[in-house]
Amino acid sequence: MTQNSDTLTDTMRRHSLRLGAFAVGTALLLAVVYALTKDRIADQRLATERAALAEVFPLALHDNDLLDAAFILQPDTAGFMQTHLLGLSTARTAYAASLTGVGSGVILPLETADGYSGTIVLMIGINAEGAITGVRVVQHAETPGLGDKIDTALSPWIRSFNSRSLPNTPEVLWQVKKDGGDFDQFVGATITPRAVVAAVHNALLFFDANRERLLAGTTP
Amino acid sequence: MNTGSTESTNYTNSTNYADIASKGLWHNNPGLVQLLGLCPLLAVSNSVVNALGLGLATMAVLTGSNLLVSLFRHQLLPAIRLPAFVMLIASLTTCTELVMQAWAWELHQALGIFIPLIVTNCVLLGRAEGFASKHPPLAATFDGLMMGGGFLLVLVIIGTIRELLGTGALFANMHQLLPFASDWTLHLFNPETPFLLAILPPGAFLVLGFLLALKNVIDRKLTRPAASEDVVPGSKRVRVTEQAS
Repeated sequence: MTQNSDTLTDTMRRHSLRLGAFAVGTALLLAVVYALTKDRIADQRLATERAALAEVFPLALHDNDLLDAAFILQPDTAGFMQTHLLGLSTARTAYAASLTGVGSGVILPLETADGYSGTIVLMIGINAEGAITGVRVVQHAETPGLGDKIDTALSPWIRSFNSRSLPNTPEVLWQVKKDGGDFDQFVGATITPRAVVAAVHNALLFFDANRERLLAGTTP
Repeated sequence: MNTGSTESTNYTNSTNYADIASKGLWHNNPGLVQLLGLCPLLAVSNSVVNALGLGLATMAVLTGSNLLVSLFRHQLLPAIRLPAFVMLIASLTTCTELVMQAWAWELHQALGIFIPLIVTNCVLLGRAEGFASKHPPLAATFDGLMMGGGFLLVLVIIGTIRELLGTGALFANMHQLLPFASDWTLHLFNPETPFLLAILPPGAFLVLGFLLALKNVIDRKLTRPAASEDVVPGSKRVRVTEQAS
């Protein structure tokens, strides 16, 4: 009897020791790889964020580090007029650009739920004159092959907003051509571009309502 | 010591490298015959670059886990084998993910959840238990390469067909995997309206189905005229040279 239980505890001890040693070994492997890749991954993350921002706001228009000039916009951020125009459903990051200390523009997050499926999240850059420097889709679930042409990887369509502003594009032209406006729709997909055009127009209205605060030259 | 004798019989039976290769790439292909790892196979095979990325990552994890399992096969007693395998595969997958984040960031973003999900790919546990734990390191590594290669091959073929049918182009976004491959996109034709079915998930099932059918047809063609020298010599010759060497 005693012999039996001895061998049992013996086996258990042997097994758990080996498994434990194995766990330590794999954890060590992970630690080494993590230490070797950590810095490079952090760099990649920052570089990706900077590149995404540079897409919507040209580097020549600012000399501050946009990542340091980030601020949070919420659906009901205090101090801003008509925040509902951005359509935000959650807190998102905006960036204040400045050139030699003077506010030179802003990058705003915006959302629209009027697309064909799900929420479309966009980023828009606006310069000090109120003209669009770039719009990009951050996230969407539009139909592949139809509505997803809002993505620059598939169509240059979204660049047609570049340098548009409220003064140079009257209210009635902020629509797709089918509705009598100035912007192309896609073959087989009108709903998606219609939603994006309206959202971009709203972002300009928001900028117009908050121009002074957004261009204060410091992070609002 | 019992394990020693069974191992030696296994050893003589199948350290035939040509046999391992033909099993991994064709006769026991993880994608076409074992039908393992179908979730990532179907989900990310919508373009060549995605397919290649996930295929290479899976192959790396499979080869690494086969090698390590084989190295420690005498220490890993049957009672603790499975938890040890799972631990090993999980940490190798995490390492692969970290390496991809460091050197192929964009591709990692595109593949998203399917890199960590390599852990759940049954091919890995299957080969660790079924092959690597009974064979010496070299054979196990080779098996990992061939099984991973077979999976990669099926992924890339499906990716090629879906990308071509769906977008009319090939090798789009290859720079995500190979930094120097920025201009590799081949626009073969320009579809007025893209063939949506190919890009959407059902397209993956259909393409896989056609591939399975094709493989079965080829297999039948290969076995039927067994007497004729014209069809079989390919496989025969391979086996002969391997044994001679």
